[in-house]
Amino acid sequence: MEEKIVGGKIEVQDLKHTFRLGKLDVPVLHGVDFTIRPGDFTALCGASGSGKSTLLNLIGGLTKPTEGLIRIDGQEISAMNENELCLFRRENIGFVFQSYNLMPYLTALENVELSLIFGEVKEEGRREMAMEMLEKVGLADRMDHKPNELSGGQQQRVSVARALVTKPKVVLADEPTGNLDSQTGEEILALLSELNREQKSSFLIVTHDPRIAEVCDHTIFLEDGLVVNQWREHHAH
Amino acid sequence: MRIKDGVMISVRNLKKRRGRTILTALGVAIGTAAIVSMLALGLGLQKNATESLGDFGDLSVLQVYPNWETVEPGESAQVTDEQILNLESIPGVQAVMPTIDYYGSTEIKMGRQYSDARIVGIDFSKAEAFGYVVAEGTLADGSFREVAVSYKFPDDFYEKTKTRPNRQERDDTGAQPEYREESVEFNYNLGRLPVVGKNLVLSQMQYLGEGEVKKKEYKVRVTGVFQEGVGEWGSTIYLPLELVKAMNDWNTGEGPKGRGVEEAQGYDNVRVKVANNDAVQQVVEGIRAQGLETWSPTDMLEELNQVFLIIQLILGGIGSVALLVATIGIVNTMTMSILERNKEIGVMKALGATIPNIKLMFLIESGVIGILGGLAGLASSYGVVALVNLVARNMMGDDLNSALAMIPVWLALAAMAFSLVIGIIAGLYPAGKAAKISPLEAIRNE
Ligand SMILES: Nc1ncnc2c1ncn2[C@@H]1O[C@H](COP(=O)(O)OP(=O)(O)O)[C@@H](O)[C@H]1O
Ligand SMILES: [Mg+2]
Repeated sequence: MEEKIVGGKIEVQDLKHTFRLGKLDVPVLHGVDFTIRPGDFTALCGASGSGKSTLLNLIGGLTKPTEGLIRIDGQEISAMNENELCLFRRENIGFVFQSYNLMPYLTALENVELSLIFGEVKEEGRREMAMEMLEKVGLADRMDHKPNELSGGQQQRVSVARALVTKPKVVLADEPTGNLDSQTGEEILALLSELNREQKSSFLIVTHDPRIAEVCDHTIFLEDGLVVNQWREHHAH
Repeated sequence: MRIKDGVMISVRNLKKRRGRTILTALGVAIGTAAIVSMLALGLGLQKNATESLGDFGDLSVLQVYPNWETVEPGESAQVTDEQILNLESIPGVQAVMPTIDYYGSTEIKMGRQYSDARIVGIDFSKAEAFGYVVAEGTLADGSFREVAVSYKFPDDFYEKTKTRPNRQERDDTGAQPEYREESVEFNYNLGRLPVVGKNLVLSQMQYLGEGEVKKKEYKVRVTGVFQEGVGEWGSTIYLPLELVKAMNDWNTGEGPKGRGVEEAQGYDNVRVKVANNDAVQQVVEGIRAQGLETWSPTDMLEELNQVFLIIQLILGGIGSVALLVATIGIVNTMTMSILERNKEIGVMKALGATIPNIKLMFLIESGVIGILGGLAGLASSYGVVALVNLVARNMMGDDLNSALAMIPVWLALAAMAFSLVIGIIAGLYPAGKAAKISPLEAIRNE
């Protein structure tokens, strides 16, 4: 089943976002522009508070930008309503969070399957898909464990499996190594990079670790809500 | 997302919060148990009452008697001929049949066998309307020569054997032999005797004092035996009304010019046949308007229903309040749970859960709490019912026709459905709240 997943092209143009806290306006993004090629493994770097998470969540369709345009594979998500965004996320986006956010009452396997349940994947073969994905992230022997029976690194692997099992066009990871020691963090990054090559989804990974940039095709630097620098490199995969 | 998946997720969640789930479901259980027990008791009592009424026989036959409360002391308390005419004119009355009891003492003989049967006068022309159906033989023709008997009559004969007085000779001691009185032995084990076509001799007796006995004999023929359960209890001979009147008159002094004993003017007991069961209550009221009293099984049913209604209202009140509190409990628990799981819900939305998915999950969760409570409540109701029946059986014994309380299948199913609906209704508000959670805000709180 060597199915070629073509990652999504991400276009961001003049993206502005302002949070409204009561009467107070908190401008976070001031006009961000960049493009991510299909299948790119991209790092989003910047200091804390520079707006990385906000940008990532906007691309993930968790909320609508105040101004500007986000297009994924030609679909303009900045123009979608709540319902359309929901369906769009379901079909196209996989999220990996810093604090894993697994359902504590479900086993590793069930957590991965949950994505497929929400993705309206037919019951037949669903479990097998989830098992296969867990094997890929190296958890073949931990499938029936609950999150509290797994280490941080293992939980993040489950979370990666959960994000990728639906074969999304775009995988968004917000500081996926932030809660892990450096060695485990590197292992997770290696896993993400490997899956990026295998599945051809586009990956956007938020980090403030500049070393990560070394393994990326493309690095974007944010500072105070603006792209201040970006470079592309071609690594020999 | 399928319902099945939703159930899996909800059940896992509820298991995780086991203590809270049990406490919340307990409220539903108490409410369900109270309401189901109430209905079980109501249904059982009703069934019992209806079955007991069946024992009383035909509901459309009313016994009418004088109203003892309005009868002056010394006045004769009997239903008069005039009152009988009035009874016949009550709408809904199909037939009126007076009966007279014979008061005096009689010796009843059929050949060598004796009977202590009761003697009652009826109007044979109306017998059929009142359910006096002959099982064997034919109905008496109303002449003074023919009688019908109750079903038990052939069973209750006995024979007398007289032992002779002592005739022993004096012995050598010269002492008087012990005197032995003439004694009578009774033999009741005669079985059921054939009576149709047989002649009976009814001997009226008046004891005039100093051993003087005045006797009057009637020779009658038994034409038929009534069906079992018809008419009076026990062994009874049915004579024409006029004959029993005459027998009573002879007893009290041979008619109006007798020995100064006031002649019985009317009837002890009057039966009224109502055209159909729906008219019973109307006829009962008509009878009471005549200054007479009646007792109808429907009276008792009405009184019982009143009692049941009160019991049901009390239990229903407790149940309703308990269920209302339980519903609020579910709303409260679910709302709390959603606040706690704010982030989890946001994550599920980020993973692709739609608003209907989220709503479905929480409605299933509250529905499952409802069902759990309903099941526990139903189980306790079976316990309550078993206990009530045990206590009732100990107290009432065989008077109880069937169980005092009962849970028919439909009630059990309805209770489950009802508790599910309660759970779902209670979940509506929290589910709506969950669906409104913003995934961005939920995820941001890291
Ligand atoms: N939901 C929100 N409401 C109000 N302010 C927010 C919200 N999310 C982020 N911010 C503000 O936006 C700024 C950028 O936040 P964030 O995107 O989380 O930065 P980063 O991920 O780079 O650390 C911060 O000052 C933060 O306080
Ligand atoms: Mg952040």
